[in-house]
Amino acid sequence: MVRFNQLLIRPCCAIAALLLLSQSLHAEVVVVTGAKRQNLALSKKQVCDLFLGKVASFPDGVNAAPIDQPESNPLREEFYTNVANKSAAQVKAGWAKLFFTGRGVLPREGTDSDDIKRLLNLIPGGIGYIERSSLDSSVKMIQIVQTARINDIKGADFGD
Amino acid sequence: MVIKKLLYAMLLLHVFATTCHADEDGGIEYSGSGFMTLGAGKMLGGTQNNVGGYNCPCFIADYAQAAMYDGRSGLQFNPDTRLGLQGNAYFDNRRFSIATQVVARAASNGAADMEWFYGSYKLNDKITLQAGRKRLPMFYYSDAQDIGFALPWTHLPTGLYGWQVVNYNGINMQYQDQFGDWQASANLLAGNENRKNSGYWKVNGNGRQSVTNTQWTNIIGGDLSLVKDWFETRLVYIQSNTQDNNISGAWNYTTLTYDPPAGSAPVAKQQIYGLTLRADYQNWLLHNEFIYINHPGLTYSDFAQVVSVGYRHGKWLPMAMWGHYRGTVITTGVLPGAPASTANSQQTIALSVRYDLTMSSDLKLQYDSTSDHSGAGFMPNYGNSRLLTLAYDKIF
Repeated sequence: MVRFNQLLIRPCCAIAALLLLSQSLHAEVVVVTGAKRQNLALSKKQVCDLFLGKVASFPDGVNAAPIDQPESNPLREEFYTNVANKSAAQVKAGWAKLFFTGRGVLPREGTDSDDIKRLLNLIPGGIGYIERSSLDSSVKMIQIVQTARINDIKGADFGD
Repeated sequence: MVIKKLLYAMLLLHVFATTCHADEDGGIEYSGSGFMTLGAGKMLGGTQNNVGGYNCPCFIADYAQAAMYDGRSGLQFNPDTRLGLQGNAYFDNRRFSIATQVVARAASNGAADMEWFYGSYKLNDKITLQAGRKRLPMFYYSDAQDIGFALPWTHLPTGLYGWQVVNYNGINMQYQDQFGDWQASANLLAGNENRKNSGYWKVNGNGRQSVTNTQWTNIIGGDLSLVKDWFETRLVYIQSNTQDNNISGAWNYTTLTYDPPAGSAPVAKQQIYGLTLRADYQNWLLHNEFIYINHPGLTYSDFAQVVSVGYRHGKWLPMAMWGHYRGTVITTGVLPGAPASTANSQQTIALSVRYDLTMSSDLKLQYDSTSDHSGAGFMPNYGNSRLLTLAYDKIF
């Protein structure tokens, strides 16, 4: 006969295991450029503006070419939640308004983090985001500057 | 039949979407993309009448396309169903580009219209020059009016967004800059538009079978958008000459038959003033928009407004909207049968909910209730209507 506390413990253990799993799936996102690009320090707002098409160039005047992860990669949802406090669907709806109306050019899309690293070294002004675990010498991590504005955004542990 | 054709086309485009991507060839980059909306509506009730050849109750989903939900029983798919394809070619590291967009609407029996065809040259980081065929940016959502995925509603508030002309052929200059915490974008434009067989005049006076051509000439104007964090405002001013030419007869509301063609109306001027106030604060979305159009030569004016509020909850966006249109006749007899100072007036309340299915698709449900407060003599007086619509939007 199964005791009451066994009935309670088994689902609790299962839920705890799922929570741990989901935490382990929660990859840390870093923002990167090509290896030859000069060192950059941007605020979250500046990164957000570049990926939302509100600003077309970096503070140093270089034209920016944002590169997205594919829609199927959960990193994309996490990136936009952290940097823009918006869902990836909201961001895409905003882009649809810009792209289909001649007010912006959609970010390029890499097939995965390796492809994004390859594109960053091919495209002038490329900026992308990958898992911290994918960092290597082919790309340079952008330092995310902490400002009062950044602290206002949820998830301020973004890539720094 | 039209719906079947569009469904087949949409099916093919799903396949197309999976293979659609940007290619580079000799420094030239190409991309193909598109959008679609599959809409279904059910008229729940309203004033029963025959107006301009339409069996009412009637709800106009899009004036420019004569997209009308009428009093037939069952589901109606035509008014909000459409499919758009866009091709882009980029040159010189995306400094110069050419874009074309074709939209097929079930409301137009599947006929494809070229809505956009323009070249774009990025002069520098702040200024872009464009020339060709574009949307006339009278309203906040003018540019995106066909792209259901970019809209919070199943159809735009038609009391505000319903107009004769939605495109123009011409030139424009876009300017984008940052002033402190404010992001500014401005647009100056000039051009002309000749709209043949106007949908607007079918649903707004001349009748379902009528053919009326509309010309807007010497269009000049511009818009200015200012954005700071969660607040956005947009100002617009456009002026032009207008002329309507009735080709094949206008509906006579007394005899319920078509009169002989009325011919060309005189050329008249119009001045369009628009204001949008918008807040996207945390989970709250507020969208308020106003337009005033003065027609000095025709001695009447139009005023329309929309006030809407929504609250995002995860993938859900429920919204409530109130809209109002009023066309005021300053001189008796300018519009047939309209008494002075009481002319054309409607009010719409809409409750809608959007659910983001994926990053590129959504499902929307909307309830509209329109009440007609027009003067007794004003035609077309469609009366009241209550409509339920469901829309599936996708971009690819």
